[in-house]
Amino acid sequence: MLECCSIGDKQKVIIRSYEHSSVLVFVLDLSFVKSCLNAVSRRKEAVAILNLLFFGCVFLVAVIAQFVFPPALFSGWSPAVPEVLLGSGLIFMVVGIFLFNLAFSAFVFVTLPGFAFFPLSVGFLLFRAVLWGLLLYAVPSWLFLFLLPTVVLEGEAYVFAGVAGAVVGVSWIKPNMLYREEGLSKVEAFRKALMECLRLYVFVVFFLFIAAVVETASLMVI
Amino acid sequence: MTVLTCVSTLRSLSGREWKVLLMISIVAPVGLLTTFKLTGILKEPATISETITLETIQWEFERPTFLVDFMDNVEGSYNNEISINQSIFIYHYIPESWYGGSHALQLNLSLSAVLEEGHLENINVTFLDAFLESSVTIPDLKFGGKNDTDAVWDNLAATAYRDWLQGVEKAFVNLKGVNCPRTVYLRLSPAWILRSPHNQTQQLTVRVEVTYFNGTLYKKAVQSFQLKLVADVNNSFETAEEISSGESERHFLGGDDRQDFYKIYLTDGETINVTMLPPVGSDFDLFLYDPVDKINSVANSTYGPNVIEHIEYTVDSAGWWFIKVWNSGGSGIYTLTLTTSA
Repeated sequence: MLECCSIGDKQKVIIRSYEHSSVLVFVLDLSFVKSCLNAVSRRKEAVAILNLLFFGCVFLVAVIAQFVFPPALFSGWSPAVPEVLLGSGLIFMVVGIFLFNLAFSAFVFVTLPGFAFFPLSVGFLLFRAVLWGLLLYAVPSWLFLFLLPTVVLEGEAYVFAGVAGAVVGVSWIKPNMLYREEGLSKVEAFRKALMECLRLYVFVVFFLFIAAVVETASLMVI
Repeated sequence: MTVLTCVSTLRSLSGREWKVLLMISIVAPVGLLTTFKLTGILKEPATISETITLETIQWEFERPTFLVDFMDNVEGSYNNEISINQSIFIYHYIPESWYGGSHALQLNLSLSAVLEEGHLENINVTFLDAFLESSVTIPDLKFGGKNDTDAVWDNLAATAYRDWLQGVEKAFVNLKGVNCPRTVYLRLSPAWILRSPHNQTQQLTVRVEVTYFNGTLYKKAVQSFQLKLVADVNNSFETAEEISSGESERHFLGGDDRQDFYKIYLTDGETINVTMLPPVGSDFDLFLYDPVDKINSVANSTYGPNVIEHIEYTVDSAGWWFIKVWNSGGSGIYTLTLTTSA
């Protein structure tokens, strides 16, 4: 049973499940989701440009590599997944891949460098794009098609991670560039950018989780 | 100027137009990449067109209790568009090895390959044992195949190697041909650390994969060696090992392992000829028992050390006849040969 009601200016969805006379109530704060969407909307230019840069770089590197290093013998494929996860159960594998990608691949290698100096987020993002281009050009078509959904989903997550890193990085160097009309100090801009970063990370988490499920399913099939 | 125009154009885009641009920024490069890949503009990598599986080479021996120098060589070869000669030299068995006192078998693997046309792509050597606690160690891999070490290779470069692995795969060495070689050489000196009780049979499989390009296609030749150390079971009349006429058996005696039994079905009037070559310095004797009396032998050969023992006997009843090899002194590997005639 689903009931919708308004509480103040926050719209809440209350899901009530009646089972064995006990009532379970889940409250999902839609205002948070809205603020996350707003954060993306505010940085849509950056997301679009980084998307184009990232996937364009993957494409260009794959094409250039084709001519510079003609593909050699394909002697099997080993997934770039930590060895410990491969032999584990399905759920453990999904969670393991998701957490590894979130903690290391997204946060440590893309977002965090941007905190210190914002172009580093873009730089590391493009470095990953180069690696993926080199990986994808040398695989057979059937494997390419298997990898493609994971590449798109994971790539999108890293783009959001890159935007998040760049936003925080810019905030303390040039606060007015981000919050033009608000006249914030560097510290205030940094705090605000951190909140924005968190909201953008909701999308990173979302895309990475779906990517982990797809990657696990692909690994099972391969 | 162009950049500024672009920036101002981007700034003037509406929310809906941005959403479209966002989609295009993903779909366009990914779509192009997929199209290029599927239409063959991005070429497919070469794949192995044929895998040639050579007959498995087997070596089996009773598991000794003492240090034994086997000095056995098992060889495999393949001569076609590529000539591959590979062998495993079974050096010696060490009951109290320096690997934590475990039983160990010292091996030496060598491989040479010559191609007339094309080049050798890679060589992968894998060591497999289903007994999970056993290990394989390959010394000197980190020295990169230099000549004065236990791991030597020519025209090859190690791309990956691991030993002391847990699980069924105990060790592997992957090597890649350097500068498209037509001749390669590889020598490894692995030790198989068994870690199982002495009365357990254990088997090590060594799989050698040689991938080469014959000028047109990539092919792979796979050769497996199965090395088996069998638990010593033929120590009584009840567990006697069956032997046929014309067969030759090599077994170990020494320490607590004092006797081995063999049995053969004979018919009335058949003549049996048994010869036993003892190891150097050891005194092993030979006894023949009829199907009924397991205490008194009907014939024996009990010469001193270093003498070939021999029994020739015409049997007087049909049934399972037994041969006993008895260790009067020393230890080592003996060879028993048996023939029958009507």
